[in-house]
This record gives sequence, structure tokens and C-alpha cells, in this order.
Amino acid sequence: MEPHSQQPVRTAPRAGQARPARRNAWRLATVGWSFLAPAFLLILLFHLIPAAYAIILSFTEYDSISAPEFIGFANFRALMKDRLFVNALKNTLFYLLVTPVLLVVSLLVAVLVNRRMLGVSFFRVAYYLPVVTPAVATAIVWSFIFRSPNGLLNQFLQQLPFVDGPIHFLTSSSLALPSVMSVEMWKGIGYYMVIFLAGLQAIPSELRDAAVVDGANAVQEFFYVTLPQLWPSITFVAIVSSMAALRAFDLPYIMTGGGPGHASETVVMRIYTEAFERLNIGYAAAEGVILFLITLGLSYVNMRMLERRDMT
Amino acid sequence: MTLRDLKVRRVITKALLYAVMIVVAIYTVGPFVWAISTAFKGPGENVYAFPPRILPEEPTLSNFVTAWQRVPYFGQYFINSLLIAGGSILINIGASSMAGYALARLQFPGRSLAFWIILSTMMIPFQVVMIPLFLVVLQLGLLNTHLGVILPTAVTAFSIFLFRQAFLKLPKELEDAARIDGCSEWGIYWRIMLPLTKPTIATMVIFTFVSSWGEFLWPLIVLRSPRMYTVAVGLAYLQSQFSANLRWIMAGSVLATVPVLIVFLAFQRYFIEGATAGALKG
Repeated sequence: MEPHSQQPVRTAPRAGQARPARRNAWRLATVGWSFLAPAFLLILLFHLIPAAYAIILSFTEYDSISAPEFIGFANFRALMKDRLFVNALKNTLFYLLVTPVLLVVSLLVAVLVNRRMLGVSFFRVAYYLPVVTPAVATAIVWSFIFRSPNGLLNQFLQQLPFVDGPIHFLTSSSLALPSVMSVEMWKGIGYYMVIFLAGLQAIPSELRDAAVVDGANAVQEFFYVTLPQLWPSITFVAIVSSMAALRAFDLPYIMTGGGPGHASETVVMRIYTEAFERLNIGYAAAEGVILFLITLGLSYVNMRMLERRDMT
Repeated sequence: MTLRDLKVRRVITKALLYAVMIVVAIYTVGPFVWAISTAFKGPGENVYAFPPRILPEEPTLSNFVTAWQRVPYFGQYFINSLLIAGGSILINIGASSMAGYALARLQFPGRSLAFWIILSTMMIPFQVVMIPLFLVVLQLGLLNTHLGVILPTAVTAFSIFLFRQAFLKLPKELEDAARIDGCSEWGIYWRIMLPLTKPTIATMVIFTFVSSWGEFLWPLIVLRSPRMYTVAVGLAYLQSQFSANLRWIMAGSVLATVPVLIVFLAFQRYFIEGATAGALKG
């Protein structure tokens, strides 16, 4: 193992004891890599290799029984003409609208609870509850709230003079997806609120004081002092929430099953159906690669946002 | 404007702020209240009545008992979910803290390359690799096992990163003193450094528990027999089987949520720390 070992018995090195540099380097490498190994192997085996494998599979036709057959870009060409996939892609991109709404709403909520008032920490906890609730339970409870004709929300709306007839939140093709997205928002507000709270509290109070001394009102102070200082938090929330939106599965799967028809079907739901119900594994892998490329593209846009902050 | 006017204005502002906070709280907590109250309502009550009655007229536990009995293995789901969460926590804390320690405190060739590789996996959405992951799990003979659910999702770049940050903050003197005293590399990590990252460990335990408990898609793919289901997968099954009985489904949903709510309410502080740890890296 150690060709340059001069000591027959390994003992703990004493301070000041000189050792050959090469042996030391070897020892450092062994120690370092053995600490890193368990996590690195898991990452390699369950993240990196599957990612490479996914790209390879996307160029094949594979049903998990006979060997994969290389077919070039045929999957991708077929996907462009696949009405169900294009529809799911549109739905997933529409789902991204959750991000700007979440940015604004959770920032407003953070500003609301970023003050010293009796009971304010109780409200923070109340706003965070949806974040920890399992998505399946969330989806089930909300699908009963949205139910027509006798769900809670419809019963409430029925009391209003200008609403006639129940609204089919989950069973009409125009409302199903927005209804699911509203639950995604409900579940996310608390998490992003906490991130904005941390961002708000990191802003030095001198900055705000200076703005007030210069005669800025509350609105000017928010837009010219607070908002620019929050740029890192805004970028983080934009990246995290848009990646979450691209991955949407649990809520639409439970609430609408992608319906009515395919009106609320997302890309991940299509991947799930193609890969695990129809065993079109190569085809589903190609769908995954497209989703991956969209994720990369969006992250790139967000990185540019970060860079812009660094320059100013 | 007199002093009294100012005082009145401040009271009005405060009242308005509280009003807005309460409205938002009704929006976020209302569905919980409604679900819990429905789960306790007896068969004679109209669960669709409007306005909804918060306190049940004839409160009963029978919905919970029925949900527990009607769904095959409902108790087993809880054991399964606890096993999977426990396994994920052990592997995540063990492997991620060791890797984070190596990346933060040890000098060795390939360290920055390894760090870069680990970080790059943050960009890969799980849903993209789930197909090959399924094939890997199949190859390893882990289909329909709890280990098959645990291993692929246990260690994430994020948890390694979090531990690296925690170890970077510790003073170098500690390590040097231990080395001079003849402590082994493992001893320095296990006895000196790791205990100093307790807040990070607590945060990771709680976060891993909540995310593992709520995980739906991957267990749905890996677990094939109902006896192996997690609570989340079992709950989806309950909903598909008994969609007509609102009381049972609400009882099941409440039962499935109680464990994470307990953990959350008991350890709120760590949730705030964990949520912001990633954001503040700048």
C-alpha cells in the first residue's frame, strides 16, 4: 500500500516530526476520499450515471424487455408531432405563471409579518403550515373544497348575487389547470415568505434610515432601497419556484388526474404515463431530456439575473 | 395634526394590519380546520352544509376507525413511512456530513473537482432521471423494497453543501489541537467536529423527515404491493377507492398529516434556519 513507508508500525504522528512529502500526500488523498466516498458513490450511482443513461435512452426505442435499439433523433421528431406531449408542454409552461404570482404574494406577506407586533410569530407559523403538509393530503382536501356543485368554495360563491350556477373548478378544461396552480401557490407562500423575511432582516437599518432622512416616503423607500437589496432572495425564489413548477406532478395527479381530457396534464405526468404505464421507456426518456433542457435554459436566465445584480 | 390624531392613526393602522394577517391566516389554516372538523363529524351530519359548522354536532372517532380498518394495511403504511424516513435520515446525515467535512476541512487532490461534480447534480431534476433510476433499482433487485425508495433520494447535493458550510465555520485551532494530541482523522471528525454542527444536524433531520414523509412519485413507482406502501401512496389509494365518503377521506388525510405537524410545531426554529440556509449562500 505505502511503498515509501519507513515505519514498520503505524503510529500517530507527533508534532514536529518530519515525514516524506510523498507519503503525506498519499495519506491525505486516502483520508479525504474515504470521507467523501459514501456520498460521492451514492451521487454517482443515483444521480450522475442515471442522468447520462437518460440521455442515451432518449435516442433508443426500449420497452424494458428486449434490448434498447438505437434510433437517432426519431423520438424527438415524434415528440414534436405528438399532440399530447405538446399539450403537456404548454400546460407545464403555463404552470410557470405560479412563479411571478408567488414572488409578489410571498414578498407582500413577508413585509406584512416583518414587524414587531404581538402575535406576529403565531401568524408566521400559521402561514408555514401548508409547506410541511404532505402534497397528497393537500391535494385531497383542496379537491373537496373545489368540488362542484356542493364543494365549500361553490357553496360560498353561491351566496353571492352575481354568481349563477356552480363553477366547475376541476372539471372544466379552462379552469382545471389554474385551480391546481392556485393550490401550488397556497402550499408555497410560507416557504418563500421565510426566505424573504431573512432577506428583509439582513438589510442594514442605516440604509432605510438614510432614505427616510432624504425625504423618501414608504413606497419610495420600498422600491429604491428594500427591493434592490432583496435581489439575491428574489433570484433564489425565482429559481427554486420555477424548478418546482416544471416538476409539477403530485397536485394535478391527485386533483384532476390530468383531466378533463388532458387539460391539466403536465410533462412529468406524461413521462410517468409513457414510462411506467405504457413502457415506452426511450420515448419517455426523450421527454425527460426536453424537460431537462428547459430547466437548464431557465436556470441560465436566472443566472443572468444574478450577474446583473453583481455588476451594479 | 395633534398628538391625539397621531395616536388614533396608529391604532387604526395596527387594526388594519391585524385584519389583513387574520384574512391570510384564514386562507392558509382554513382548509386544515375544515378537514379536521369534517373528520370528526358523525354520519347524521350534512358535511356539505353551508356555512360549514366548525364544531361537529355529534363528534365521533368512528371515521378514523373506519379509515384505519377499511384500507388494507393502513397501520402498516405508517410503519413503512417511519422506516423510510428513518433510513433516509441516517444515510443522509452520515454520508452528507462526512462528505461535507472532507470538502470543508481536508486537503486532497480532486477535492474541487468533486465539489463541482456534486453541485452540478443540483441542476438535474429528479423527474428526468427517474426512468434510468428505475432501471438501476430494478438491476440492483431493489424494486418493491424500502431500500429502493431510500437510496436514490437519501443523499442530495444540497445536504452535502449545507454540511460543508457548517464545517467551514469551525475554527482551525480545534482541529490542530486534536491532531497534536494524536487524535485520528476519524476521531477528529466524529468526536470533535461533528458534535459542533448539531444545529445543522437537527435541521437536516427535520427537513429529511418532512420531505421523506410527503414524497409521493418515487414511492409510487418503486413500491408495487400495498403492504409496502407509504402513507402518501396509501392515502392516494384511499381516495381513489372511497371517493364518495368525505368523512373517511378527511380522517385519513388528517392522520397522514399529524406526524409532520407535530414535528413542525415542536421544532419550528429549525425550519426557519433550514429554509434560509440555502438562500443566504448568495
